[in-house]
Amino acid sequence: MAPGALKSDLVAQVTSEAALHREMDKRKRDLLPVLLVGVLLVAGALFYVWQHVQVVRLSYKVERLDSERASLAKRERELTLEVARLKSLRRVEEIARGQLGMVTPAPGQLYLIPVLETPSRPGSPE
Amino acid sequence: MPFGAHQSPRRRIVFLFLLLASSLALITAKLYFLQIKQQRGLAERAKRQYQRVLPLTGERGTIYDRNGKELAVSVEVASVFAQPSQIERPGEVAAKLAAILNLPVHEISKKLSSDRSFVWIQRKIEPAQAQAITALGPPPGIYLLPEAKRYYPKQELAAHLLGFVGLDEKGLEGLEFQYDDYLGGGSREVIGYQDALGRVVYKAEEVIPALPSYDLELTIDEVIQYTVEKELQAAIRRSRAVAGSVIVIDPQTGEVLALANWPTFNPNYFNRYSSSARRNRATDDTYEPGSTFKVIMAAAALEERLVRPQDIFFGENGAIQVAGLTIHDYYKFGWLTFQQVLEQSSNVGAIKVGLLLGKRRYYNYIRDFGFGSRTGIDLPGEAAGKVRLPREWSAISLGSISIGQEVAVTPIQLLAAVSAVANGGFLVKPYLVRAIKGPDGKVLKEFSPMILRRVISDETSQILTAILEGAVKNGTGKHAGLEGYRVAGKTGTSQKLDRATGHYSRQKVVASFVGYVPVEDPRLAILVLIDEPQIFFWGGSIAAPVFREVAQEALKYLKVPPVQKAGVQLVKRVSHEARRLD
Repeated sequence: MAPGALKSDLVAQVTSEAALHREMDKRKRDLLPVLLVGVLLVAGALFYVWQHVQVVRLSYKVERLDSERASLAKRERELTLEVARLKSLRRVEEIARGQLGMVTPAPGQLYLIPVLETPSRPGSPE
Repeated sequence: MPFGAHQSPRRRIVFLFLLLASSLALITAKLYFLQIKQQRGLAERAKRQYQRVLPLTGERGTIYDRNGKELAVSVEVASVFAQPSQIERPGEVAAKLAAILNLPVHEISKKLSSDRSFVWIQRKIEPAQAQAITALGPPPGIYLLPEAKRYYPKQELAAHLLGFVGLDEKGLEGLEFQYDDYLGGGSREVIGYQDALGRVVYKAEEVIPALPSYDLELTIDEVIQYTVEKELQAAIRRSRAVAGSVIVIDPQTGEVLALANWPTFNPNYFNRYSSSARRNRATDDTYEPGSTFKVIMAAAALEERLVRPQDIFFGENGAIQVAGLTIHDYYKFGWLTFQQVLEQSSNVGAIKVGLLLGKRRYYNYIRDFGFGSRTGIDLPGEAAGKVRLPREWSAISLGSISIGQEVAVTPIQLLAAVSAVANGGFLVKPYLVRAIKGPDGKVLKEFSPMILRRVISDETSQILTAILEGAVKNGTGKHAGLEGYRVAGKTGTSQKLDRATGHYSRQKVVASFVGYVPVEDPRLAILVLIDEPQIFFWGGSIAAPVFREVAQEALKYLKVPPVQKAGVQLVKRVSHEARRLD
């Protein structure tokens, strides 16, 4: 092969490689938005799934708290009933008389003292 | 040779195609009928097969006294049911359940062996029993469902007022019945799903809720109610009476502060008591009021200015003839002032004043005071009493009615009438519910005092009050007197009509006392009625002391100060520490 032909081959090869690089760079540049869109889509999908998981998790929590609330409300009602039962005046009187030895004050032993309004201190708000 | 051996493949294909096509057409046609034509009916049938709706009871509103104390409360409890098809050893399961539920083993065993898909074992069990069943496992086929149950934590307290509810949580008596629409409860529904084997799964969350329920705030005061019940019971025991009633109302407003009857019952177990024990005698029963009715006669005579307190009447030495019938006094009275007629409860004197009034005039006052018609108290079953028209009166009627016979009144009517004398002449409607409130405490409906009409003037009210105060100070009502308070009232001892003989019985009486305190500004009007006392025969000796005890406790509780003795002055003592803190 003549040296001129070899040179011309080399030039052509170099030229085509440069073109190839340029082409690849161009393709890369073209691919970037697609890649970005893909990443965004995946991120979106992951966010959607995460959100869904969170909703489910929170729903379970709400359900658990609801059931806890209902159970506490029931307990509160039961305790209200128990308090009302224990405060029954018959029971209170039996304990007061039987266990504590208390007696009803005779009419003369009880004085109702009318509460007089005390004058307000100087400077105090009316 | 087999079918089609000589047939070409094309013909076979056509044959198969036609076969499949016609089958498909048949299926399509059937599907059309099932899915489109008969869809509604079949869907309903399917729903009926896999879905069961179980009616359960919903929670009712709470009933409070005037100070917010719970008198009736609904609490969620468990009900036990079984699906017999799932139970492998009914005998064994029945024995376990019977021990917890205190039921006969054979009874449960019979239920567990039935061919029904669902049976109640016991509804509304105690929390401890539910815990014991839960601790068991519970056995397959035995389930618990939450239901509401009404409790009356104060047991017998105000039983006749509160009433009670049935198994379905609907009010059957008293305020529970009267305000059933507001208290709510009733039924809610739980939906269950049944599988192919008939097993049903009930989810308490899948509920068609009951109607909203509201709370009631009563005019009743728990402390006064308790005092009344205690004193009534003691009086019944002392006098060996068969029955009795006490009512306390605020004479200015008509608010019922307490109402009690004997015999009484525990509304938690109402079905263990007779209907007689559950009857609210204070509003549903009528009786002849006897001498307490002389208050009405006196009010009419004073209002008409026919008599004055100092006018004198001859007591006829204790007996008077009216249309051929002799009416006696318990004492041979001579001359009495009108005031003394009331103080000493003279029948002769009362009849003479009644005759002055005349039929028509007296009848009008009786009706104006509310007798012969319901007071309108918010309780079911109130009686109207009986007051005959003047044209139906016999020759003796005017005399009889003047001393409280030949009229049938309810205790609440008499107390409402006497309250009119106490408050300056206004007939007020007695009532029991102050407010209906939502679960958030918001007031849905409020009830205020209702004046029905003026029946006597303020002047008559004051004159009559002074006379009735005399009846307590100097007359038959001495035992109703209170240290430090001015009391007005009237005793009554009315003979009961003996149905066997058609005459008034000498042994059977109704002893009563009606009065109010303190006279200068009445806070309490009280009626005490003791039916058929065996000892302490007179109203003054058995009913008046109950009035005194109830009034004494109630006034102390309401912090109504007594009239102070002259020369004694109470002032607030302020300690040195308190001064320094100031």
